Amino acid sequence: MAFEVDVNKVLETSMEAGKIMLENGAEIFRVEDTMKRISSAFGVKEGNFFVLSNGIFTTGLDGNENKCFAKVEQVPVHGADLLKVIEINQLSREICNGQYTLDEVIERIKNIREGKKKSKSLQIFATALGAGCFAILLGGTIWDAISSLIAGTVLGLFMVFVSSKYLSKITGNILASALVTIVCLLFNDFTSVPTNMMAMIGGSIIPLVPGVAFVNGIRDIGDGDYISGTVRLLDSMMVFLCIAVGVGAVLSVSSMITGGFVL
Amino acid sequence: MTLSIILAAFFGTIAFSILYDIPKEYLVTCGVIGALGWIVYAVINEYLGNSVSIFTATVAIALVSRYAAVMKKTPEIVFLISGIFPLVPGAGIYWTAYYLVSGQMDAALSSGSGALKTCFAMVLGIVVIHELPQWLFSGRKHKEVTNGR
Repeated sequence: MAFEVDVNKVLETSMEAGKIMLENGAEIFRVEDTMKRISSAFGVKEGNFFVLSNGIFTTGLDGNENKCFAKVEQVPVHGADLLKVIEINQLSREICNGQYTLDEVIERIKNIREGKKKSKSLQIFATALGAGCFAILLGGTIWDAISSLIAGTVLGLFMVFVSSKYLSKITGNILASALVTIVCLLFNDFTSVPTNMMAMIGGSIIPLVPGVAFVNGIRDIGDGDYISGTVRLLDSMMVFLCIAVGVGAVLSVSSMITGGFVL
Repeated sequence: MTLSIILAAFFGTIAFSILYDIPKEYLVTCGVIGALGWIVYAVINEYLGNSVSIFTATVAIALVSRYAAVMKKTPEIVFLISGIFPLVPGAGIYWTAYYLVSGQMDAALSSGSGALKTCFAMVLGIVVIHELPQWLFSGRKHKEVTNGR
């Protein structure tokens, strides 16, 4: 071989890239593919990658077969930040075109990991808008959409300022769904417009639905990655169960108090 | 189906694309794909029932997403996730869980099996489009061979 390949450094780098993708909601096969491309672009011939929904296993040999690399890394199930997936994907394209040295790649990956913070007000706005739109899609009227919009705003505020900072996923989801149900009930009780509770509550809780985990679970099962697909689907089922507990608790308490409302 | 529903699907998809931190330049594409999927779903749902309509809508979304991914040089998942979001049986699974929690087993069974069928129709739709060779979308064969998928 003409030049010495630093197997450790290359595989370490491709593992970091894979980790960012996996954390932020890429499919399993894309993670494996990207890691393979990055490592082979830098001359590691025998890179083997095994990726699960919450872990990456890597081994590799250099061309002279006198150096090997093996590492296992645990990747906690995270939120979804598709911008980072796009950026790493773009980076791996550019690496395959031979545009970067290894050190530049490490620098780029570090920048991508740090990234820029999501704007809080935009997040709250998007939550409210999504809730309102889905109330209409679920068969609600314009009034249901308005109440979902209000509930969505409350939900957005709660998610940004409380649950993402202080609460675990399970408690956060239960409390958030209880909160939106209270808002919907208040809207139902204190206004005289005709309402459709199913569309109202259904729309307001949609921002809690783990869309990325769910679609990725389906994608992974489609690709034949059954373990990761099942784990991701299970993860989203867990969220649904929490939402149902939150909504159910509030509705049953309210029907005990008022004695009337049955869904 | 009225204009307000199409607009709701369009803006709803965009709202969730923002939540998933998809860059601005792709937002309109995502919204169009989401609205398109919903139109296909709603029209076919009138005649052929839920499972077939979900399958057809998923096929349409996956097809357009793959094309958009090649056009914009972006992972397909960006368009697929946001476009398919309105069809995700979020409400269905949630109602299943709600009926389970509140002890209404019959209702839980019927909405649960509905949600399961929807999931399976989505898997089938995505798989079907994934079997299509890449050159159909990009107009040329890929240089590198990926890991067989």
